[in-house]
Amino acid sequence: MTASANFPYLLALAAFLFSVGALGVLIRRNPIVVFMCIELMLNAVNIVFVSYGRFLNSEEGQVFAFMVIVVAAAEVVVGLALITQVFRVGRELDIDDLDELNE
Amino acid sequence: MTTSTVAVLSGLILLLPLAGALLNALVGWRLSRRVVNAIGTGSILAAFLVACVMLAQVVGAPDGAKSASAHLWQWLDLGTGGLRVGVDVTLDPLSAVMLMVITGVGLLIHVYSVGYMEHDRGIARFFSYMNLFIFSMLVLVLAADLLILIIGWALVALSSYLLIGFWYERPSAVVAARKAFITQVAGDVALVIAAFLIVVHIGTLSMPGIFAAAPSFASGGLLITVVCSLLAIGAFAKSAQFPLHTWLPDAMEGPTPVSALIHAATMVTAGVYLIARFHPLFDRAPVAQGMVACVGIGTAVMAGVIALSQVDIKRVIAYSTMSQIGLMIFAVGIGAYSAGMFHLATHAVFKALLFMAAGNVIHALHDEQDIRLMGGLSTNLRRTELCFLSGTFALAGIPLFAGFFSKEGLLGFGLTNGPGAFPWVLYLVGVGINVLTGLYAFRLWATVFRGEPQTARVYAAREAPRVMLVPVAILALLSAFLGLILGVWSLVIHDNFLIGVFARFLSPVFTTPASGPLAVDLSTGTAILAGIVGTLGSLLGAGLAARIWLQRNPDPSAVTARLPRALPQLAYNKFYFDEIYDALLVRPLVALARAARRVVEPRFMNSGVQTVSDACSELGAWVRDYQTGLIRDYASYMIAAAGVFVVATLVLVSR
Repeated sequence: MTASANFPYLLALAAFLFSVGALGVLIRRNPIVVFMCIELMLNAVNIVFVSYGRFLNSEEGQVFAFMVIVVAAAEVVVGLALITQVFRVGRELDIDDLDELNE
Repeated sequence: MTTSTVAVLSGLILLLPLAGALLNALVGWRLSRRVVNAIGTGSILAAFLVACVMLAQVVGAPDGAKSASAHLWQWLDLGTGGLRVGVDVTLDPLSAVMLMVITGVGLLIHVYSVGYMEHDRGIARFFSYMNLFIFSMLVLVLAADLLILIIGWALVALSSYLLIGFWYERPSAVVAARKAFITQVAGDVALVIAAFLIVVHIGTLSMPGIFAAAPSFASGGLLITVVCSLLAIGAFAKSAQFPLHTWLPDAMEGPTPVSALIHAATMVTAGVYLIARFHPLFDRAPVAQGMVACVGIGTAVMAGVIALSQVDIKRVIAYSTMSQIGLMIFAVGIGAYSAGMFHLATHAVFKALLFMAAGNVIHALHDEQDIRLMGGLSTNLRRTELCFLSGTFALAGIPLFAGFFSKEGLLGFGLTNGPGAFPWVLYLVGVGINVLTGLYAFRLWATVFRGEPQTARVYAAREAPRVMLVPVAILALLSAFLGLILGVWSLVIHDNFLIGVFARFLSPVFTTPASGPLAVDLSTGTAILAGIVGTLGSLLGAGLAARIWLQRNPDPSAVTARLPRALPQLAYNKFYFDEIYDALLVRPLVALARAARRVVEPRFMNSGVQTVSDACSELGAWVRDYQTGLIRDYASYMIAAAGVFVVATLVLVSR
């Protein structure tokens, strides 16, 4: 199968993964799981980038994908640090409890 | 003297003090006191050396080429026919004299400050301001464009403000600084309006251009009279002339070196320089000239009378400064530009000397400034007294001291070339000023140094350290011999004994026939008579002062006690100018502001403002409901927005 034939399936896969991720962010309460869902969404976008790069015969898609991976790594560092700090304060890990910033 | 030489030298002399100011301002707080002192005085020393080179350039230039301008860069260019402003500098005999005064006297005062400010923690700030002032003053005198001159004009007001308020923890110093600044800004406004009128009429602000186009003004016409009057008002504000004089005595709140540098030697004489520099315009506006002359001599009388009644050592000298500048303004008002500039130069020397010697006294008595509590200081402050005496002789115009030459020169010119039908009226007033000057100058010396000590502190007074004595001594020598040297030199070249050499040096600048160095020869019989009468006036004042105050327990108010009570009261209270301005300007303004706050603001302003602020808080309350603090909500908003975006894209693309 050529790359172009696979293209719609790849996009569908990406859309599916993105939706799963978005849904997870919205309905799960454990911050770590929410976090993993965000990663899922990012990687869905990566699939789109790479497959479009293939489809259009250009390297730029891959470059962008790498960029996203780097940013995601940085984001994980910050996010996990925050989560550990919240856990240390002795709070339960439930994101619905963390609403002090609303005022 | 080539253009490039002028450009290089002016660039150097401007950048050196500026660099010193920046260096001390930025890193001075972490440098040691010695380094700060070295930067502060070193930059001025370097500038002084450059000024000497510039003077040599002017002296060495052949006749007819004594003036050179250089174009440093184009600052503003509004195209053909529009206004063009270049950062241009002019080096000619007039600016060379000012350069020497500024950097020479400035250097000595900087050295003196090292000793005077020895125990002050803000030494870096002090030297930074002082260098900034020297820079601003140099911009002012080198500028060849009216706009650049105005920039320097405003910058000296700023540095004066900073230095008067140097001890900012004293409320009186802060108030005095503000007063000086506001009064001077009133003059700046007049100057800027004059610049507008010049641009509208001539189309350029370049000073050579203005002077070349001066004949296009109708001589004695309304426009030129208005322009010159506005320039003169600017000069009055800067030079503390009536009616904008009230800031100068209050400015004595600043440290004494500041009083010596800014409020005696340089900045306050900038008004004299301005009028002398714009003489091609003033020569065509006799009405404005007459106004300038009358204001000058009137201020001289008024300030002399006030000086006689004051008891604060610095204020006496401040009023004497105001009086002497009045004489200079009178001189440039009657067209005696060289004589006015000569008095400016000698006055800078002997008045800086008097201030610094007074600073030694104040220092020795631990910040005592009341002359009624001094007396008998000559035993402990022998050297300071000698220097002070040299300045006093020069100030009073005792023959062969510096002040004698310049003052008699300008008064003699006034008799032969004065304005109006009766020039001798103003001349007689001038002789009266000579008597007054002799009186207050020797009154100050006698009450401070002679007689018996009036307080125990006098016994404990110690002579100032060498770093404060040497600059004072140099100035004392200058004020004793500067005039004499120039006078002998004048005799050698067969010129007028009083101001011959100086007038000849400045003659390339004041070339127009009406303002020639000496339109009427001062060696004529009338002029000699004028000089003799004037000198007798000075001697009479000095002699009277010696009779009245050279006693064991001199009474500083000895003269005033014999007059009707109202007169000394008036003079002691400075003719109530502060009170009058307070009643006429300050109180109505404050009342207006109060009325606006009570009536206008709640009724007219607040309703509109209130509506806007109510709308804002309602909007905020509505938006606040969406800030729940729940990540889930925020994520939903984001995803919903992304969905809207996707749908919108699809719709738009498919169309």
